[in-house]
Formats: sequence, C-alpha cells, structure tokens
Amino acid sequence: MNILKITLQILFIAFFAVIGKWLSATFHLPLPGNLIGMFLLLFLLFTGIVKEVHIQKGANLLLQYMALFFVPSGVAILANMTLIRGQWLPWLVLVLVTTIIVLIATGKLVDHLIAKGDLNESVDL
Amino acid sequence: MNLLIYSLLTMAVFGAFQKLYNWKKWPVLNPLFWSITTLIAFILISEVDYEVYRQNTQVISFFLGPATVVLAVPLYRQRQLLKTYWLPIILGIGFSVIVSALSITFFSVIFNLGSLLHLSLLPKSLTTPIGISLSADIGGIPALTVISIIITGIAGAILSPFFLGLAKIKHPVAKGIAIGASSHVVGTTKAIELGEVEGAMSSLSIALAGIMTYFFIPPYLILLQHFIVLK
Repeated sequence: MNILKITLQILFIAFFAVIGKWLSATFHLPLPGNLIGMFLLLFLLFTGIVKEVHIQKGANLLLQYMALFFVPSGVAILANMTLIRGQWLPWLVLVLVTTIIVLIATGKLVDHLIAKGDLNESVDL
Repeated sequence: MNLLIYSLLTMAVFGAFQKLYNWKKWPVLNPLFWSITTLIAFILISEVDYEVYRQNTQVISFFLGPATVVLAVPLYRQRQLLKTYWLPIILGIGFSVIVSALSITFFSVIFNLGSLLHLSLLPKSLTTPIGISLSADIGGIPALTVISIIITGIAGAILSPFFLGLAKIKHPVAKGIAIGASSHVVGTTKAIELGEVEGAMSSLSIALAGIMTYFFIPPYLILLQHFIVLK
C-alpha cells in the first residue's frame, strides 16, 4: 500500500514538471519548465490547495535520492570531453576556484547581513 | 532489456557508493562523483557505446524534472525563515550572480580561454535545465555548459563544508544560500544533509539565482564588450 502511495505521489510531482514544460513552451517563457513547475507547486502549497501530507512521502524519497538522477548527465562528460581538449586544466581550475569564490563571498555577505539584522532587532527591544 | 540493464547498473553503482559514503560520511567519498567515474570507466573498458548507455538511462534522467519541482517542499517547510530573512537572502543571491559572472570572466581572460569557453562557462552555477537554455541563448556550447555545471556541483558538494568552516560562515541560512548559489542542485544534496534549513535555503537559492542570472547575463555581456574584447 505504501509503495502505491509513494508512486502516486511521485507521479503527481512529476505532473508539475510536465505542466511547467508545457507552459514554458506554449508561452515562450524565459524560464525552464521544471522551475515553473516548482513555483506552481509552491503556490498550491501556500494556498493550501495541495497539503504537504499529500506529497510528503514521495517528496522525501525524491529529495533523498536526488544525486542519483544526475549520474547519467555526468557520464555524458565522456562524450563531450573533446570539446575542452587542450584547455582542460585551466578550465578545471577556473570551475573549482570560481565555485569556491562564489560560495565564500555569498556566505560571508548573508552571514554578515543576518548578524547585523539580529543586532538591530535586539537594540529595538 | 538494455533499458533495464543500464538503469539497474547505474542504480546499483550509485547505491553502493551511497552506502560507502553513509558509513564514514567523508566528503571525498561523494557518491555522485564516484558513480560517474566508475560508470565512465565501465563504458570505456567494456567498449559499450556511450549513446546506448545514454538512451537506456533516460528513465533515470527523467527524474531530474520532478527532482527540481520537489524543491518546493523544503522551501514551503521553511516559510517562516523566508519571512524573517528575505532581505539578506535576496541581496546575497543577487551578489552571488554578479560575483560568479565577474570571477568567470576574470579567469577566462587571464587563462586566455577564448570567447566560446567563456560563454559556455557563465551559466555554470545554475541548475542544468536553466544553464542549458541560457548557454544556447548567449552563444555558448550547451554540452560544455552541462559538463561545467556537473563539475561545479560536485565541487560544491565535496568542498563546501570545508570552505564554509574556513571562512567562518555560521548561520544555517547563510550556508544554504551560499551552497545553492554556487553549486545548484548537486550542492543542495550536501546542504540537505547539513540540515533542513540549509537544504531549504539552498533550494531557494537555485531558483532565484537561476532567474537573476537569466536576466543579468545578456546586459552584462553587452557591457563587457565595451571594456574587454574576448577573442
């Protein structure tokens, strides 16, 4: 019974991806369908039309195995490695370094803004 | 028949590496990285045609869609935090978009990577579906963008706990936003592991960074042409 329930919930979530893709294509929206589907689901959750319990089990399963779904796209590196050819080392360095720069810069700013905000709040009290 | 064999093989390999990772929780044991490496090695050694593998694992790739949609759930669960911290969150993600573009341009110029590689790299912090369409829009090579996105994600998943610690970034909201903005859905798998708040903020970051980047990059490129000529 549980398996059936989880399957139905996952199908329901997948349905949003399909609708999102359709909306994106039909109205030439600058956003990919998956994201539109996400906002649609978010909207229905906020309005209470869809309750979290309706999709909880399926959602948890998808969230838990998220990385698995990226494996085939990752293996695609094999087919496209020739695109980088002689420049793979600077390319790799760039990818790693910029990722870390963005991580630290963003984290530092948000951390700082939150600390400042919390401080102001306590002063107001 | 093939459909089942390659999908099952992929799932088995991933499941095994996930088990190994769960045992020690060492970041270097990242299951996504080792699954991809192992499967590439398998394809090369067994001389299976990559195209056959790709077509027969589309069942798994199909779930990339629902896996993006489902990010609405952690976001909804953390709506209270969103209300409290909306300003630092928006400013942080906006900042990440600018820092990402500037740092990619900077290193592309000093490494002399050329215009095509530069354009293909700009969407690298975005989630795959957004990154591909932006890359095509600005004249990059989508396939190259996908590789950059995957490597960025894996780098984020492996390295972010260490560098967040090094930079003394403490607030779970800041950690989540930083991970999502720098390394999208793949980094988010790590953020979810760090905690529910980190996971939700990381999910939010993917969506917002995606939208902001989509609107930021085209005018940024026009502006760039006035200052630097990339070959």
